[in-house]
Amino acid sequence: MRILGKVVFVIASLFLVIAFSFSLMRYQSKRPLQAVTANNNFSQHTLSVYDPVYLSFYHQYGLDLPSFYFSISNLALPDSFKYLPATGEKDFLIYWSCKTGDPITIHKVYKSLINFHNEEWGIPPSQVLKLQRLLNQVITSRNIDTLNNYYAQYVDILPHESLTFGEIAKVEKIKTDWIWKQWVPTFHLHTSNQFALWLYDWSSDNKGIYAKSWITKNTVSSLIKKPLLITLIITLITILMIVVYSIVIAAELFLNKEKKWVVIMQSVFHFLYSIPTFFIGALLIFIFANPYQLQIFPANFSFAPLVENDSFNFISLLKSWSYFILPVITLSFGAIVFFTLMLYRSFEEEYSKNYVLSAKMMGVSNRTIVYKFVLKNAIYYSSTFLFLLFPALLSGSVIVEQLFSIAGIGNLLITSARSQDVPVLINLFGLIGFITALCFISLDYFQQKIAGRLLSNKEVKE
Amino acid sequence: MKWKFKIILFFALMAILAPIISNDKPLLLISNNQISFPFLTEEYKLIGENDFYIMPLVPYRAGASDFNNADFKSPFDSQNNSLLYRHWLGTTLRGCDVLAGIISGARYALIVGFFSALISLVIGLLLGAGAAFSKNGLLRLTWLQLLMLIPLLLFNFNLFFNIPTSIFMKCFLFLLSLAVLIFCRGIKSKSNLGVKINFENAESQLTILFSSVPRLFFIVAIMGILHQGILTLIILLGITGWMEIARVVRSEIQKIQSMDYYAAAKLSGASWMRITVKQLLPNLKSLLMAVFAFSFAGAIMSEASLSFLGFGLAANQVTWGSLILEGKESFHAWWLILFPGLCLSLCLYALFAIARGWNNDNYSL
Repeated sequence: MRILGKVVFVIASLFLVIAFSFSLMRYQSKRPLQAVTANNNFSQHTLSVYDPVYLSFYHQYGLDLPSFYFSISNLALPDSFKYLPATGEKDFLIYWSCKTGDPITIHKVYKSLINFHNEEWGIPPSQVLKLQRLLNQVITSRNIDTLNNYYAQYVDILPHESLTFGEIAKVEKIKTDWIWKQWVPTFHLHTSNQFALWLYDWSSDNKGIYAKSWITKNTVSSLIKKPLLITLIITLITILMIVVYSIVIAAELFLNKEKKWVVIMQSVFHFLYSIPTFFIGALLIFIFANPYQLQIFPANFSFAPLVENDSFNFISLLKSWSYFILPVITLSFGAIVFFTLMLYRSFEEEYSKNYVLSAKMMGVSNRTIVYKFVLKNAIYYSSTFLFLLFPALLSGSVIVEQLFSIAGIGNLLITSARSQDVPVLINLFGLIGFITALCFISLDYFQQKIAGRLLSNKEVKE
Repeated sequence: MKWKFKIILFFALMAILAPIISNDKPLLLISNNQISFPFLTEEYKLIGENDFYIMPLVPYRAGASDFNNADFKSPFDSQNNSLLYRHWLGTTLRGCDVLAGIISGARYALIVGFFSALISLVIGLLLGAGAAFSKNGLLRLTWLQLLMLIPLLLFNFNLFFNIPTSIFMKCFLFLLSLAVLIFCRGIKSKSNLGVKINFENAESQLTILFSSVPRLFFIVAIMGILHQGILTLIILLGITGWMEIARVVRSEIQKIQSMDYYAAAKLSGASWMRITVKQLLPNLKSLLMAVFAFSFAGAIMSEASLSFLGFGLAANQVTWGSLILEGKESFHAWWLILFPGLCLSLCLYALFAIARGWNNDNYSL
C-alpha cells in the first residue's frame, strides 16, 4: 500500500516536472521557430514573423495552438468560443448561449463571425462599415426581439453564398426553453494544444517542434541513447567501487580505532570530503595523464575503443578499461569519503549493542564480528544513502564528463545548454527526473523487503 | 577564536577589501598638489612622472591582461616586471594575475554562497516550521466531502465565469454550495474514515520532489535557457538548497515540542509569541547556524562547479572555478589549479568544520 502511494506520488511529481519543463520551453527567451529555420534554407534575418513561409511553419508545428488548456464550462456553451479574438464578441456569444441554452445556433453565429474576421465573404468595401455597425448592434443587444431584428438586416446585406447566417435568422427562432443547460458544468481536457503535442510526440520522427534537436536536427531519443549507456556504465562501476572501498576502509579504520594514525586519518577524511570533484579531477589529470609529468593513464575518453568504433559492444568495453580509471576515481572520491564516515558512525552505533557483546563472550574475533555481523546492520542504516547516490552521481557526472571529455549525458547537457538546444535540455531533464523517481521507488522496495530480512536475521542472532 | 572562524574571517575580509587589496588603480594619488583616490572611481587617470602614488598590495585587477607576462608565467619564472609588480602566484594565458583572480573569486564565492544560503534558510525555515506546527492536520475532510468537492468546484467555476447572472445571485449560490459542503460533514458515517489534508505531509512530499532532481543538472539546464548572471545563480542555488534545512528544522521543532519545558511553558499560559521567542528560537539557534554553514558550503561548491563548467557568472567575472577551468586547458600550469583549488577546499573545510561543531547530534554528516 505504501509503495502504491509512492507510485502515485511519483507519477504526480513527474507530471509536475514535465509541466514545469514544458512551461520553461514555451516561455524561454529564444524563438523556437527561428531556431528551427535558422539552419534550413531560410536565414534567420530574412524570415520575418509576417512571412507566409514563417506562418506556414508556424501552423505546421502547431505553434498557433494554445499552449495548454482545459475548460470548465456548461452544456450550453461550446468550447470553441475560446478561439474568438475580440472580447466583446466572446461576451456576446457566451451571454446569448447561456441565455437561450442553445449552443448549436450560437455556434453557427460564431462560425460566421470567424468568417467575417477572415474576410472570406468578398463583401464590397462600401458595405463592410455598415456590416460592422450592425454586427456591433447585434453584439450589444440584450433583447431577443431586437436581436432577431438586427439579424434580418444583417443577413440582407450578406451575399447569398453564406447561407448559414441567413438560415439562422429565417429558420431558427432563438429558443428560450433550454436554460437549464447552463447549470450543468462540464469539464474538457483538450488534446489540440502544444502541451499535448509535445507530450505525445517527443520520440516520434517527424512531428513536433520540441521533439527534434534544434542544432543537429536529430530526434532527441536517438541523441540520448548512447550517452545514456556510457553514463550508466560509468555510474554503475563507480557505485561498485564506492561500496567495496568504503566498506573495507571503514571496517579497517574501525578495527584499528585505538591506534594513532586512525585519529589522524579521520581528520584527513574530513578534509578530503571538502575537496570539490573538479579539483580532484584536474589534479589527477595533471599528475597521471600529463606528458610533462607521469603519463600513466589516458585522460581523453574520446579515444577509447568504446567510443571510437561504431561497434558498441562488450569487447570494446573491456578493451577500453584504462580509460575508465581516472573518471571513476574522480567520481567516486567524494562519495567514498562520505560513505566511509557514515559507515564508521553506524559501526560505532552497532558495536555497542548486546549481540556484539554475546559474540565477544563466545570468543569470536573482533574482525569476524565486524565483517560478519555488524556490517550487515550498519549497511542497512546507510542503505538510504546508497540509493540516493545514483542521482547524485548523475549530477557529478556532468563535471567528470566535461573533464575527461566523455560523450555521456552530462556532456550532452553541457553542449546543448551552450547552444541553447532547448528540446534536448528539457528531455534530458525529464529523463533524469524519471531515473531518480525509479531510485526512490526501489529504495522503498528495498527497505520493505531486503532490509526487513536483514533485521529478522539480526533478531535470530540476538 | 577558533581556527575555522579565523579562516572564514580571512576570506570574508579578503572579499570585503578586494577593491583595496587588488586593483590596477592607485589607492592614493597626489598630482599637482591635489589628493585623489582613484580606486574609488570608475575612470582611469594617467599617472604623471612627478606624481606620488600608492599602489595596492596586488597592483592588478582580476581579469585584466598583462601582455608582458602572457602565456602562463609560473610563480618561479623570471617575469618582465619590477619586484613590486611581480605576479606572485603566476599568470594565465592572457597574462591575468592569479592572485587577483583568487581575491575576486573569494568575493564572488562568498556573495553567491551567503545570499543563496540565506534564501534557502528562509524557505527551509518557513516550510519546516509550518510543517512542524501543523502536525495534526490543518484541514480534515470526510470521504463524502472529498467526493462532493470536485463537482462543487466545477459548479462554482462555471458559476463565476460562464453564467450571466447578477453578482448577488452568484454569491448566494456560492454560499449555498459551501453550506452543502459543511452539511456533508455533519452526516455521521459509520466508519471513521477520512482524509487529513496535512501540511506536514505536503511539505515532506515537496522535499522529496525537489531533492529528486540533481542540483547541478537542474541549474545547468535552466542556465542554458535563461540569461546567465549573478542574480539568476543566487536564486537558482537558493531554490534548490532548502530541502535539508526544512527537514532538519521540522524534526528539531517536533523534538522541542515533545520536551517537558515546552509543555510547561504552554501550561503556564505563555502566548504563542513568547514560546517562540523564549523557548524555540534559543534552542534552534545553534542548529540553524550549523545548517546555514552547510548550505553556505554547498552553495560555494556548486558555484565553483558551475563556473568550472562555464555556466556560472559572466565571462569577465573571475572566480575560483573559472581559474581552474583555465588551468585545465594547459598541461603545465599547475599554479592555476593548485592555488584556487586549495583556497576553495580550505574555505569549504572551515565551513564544514563549523557546521560539525555546532551540530552536536550529527544530523547530516
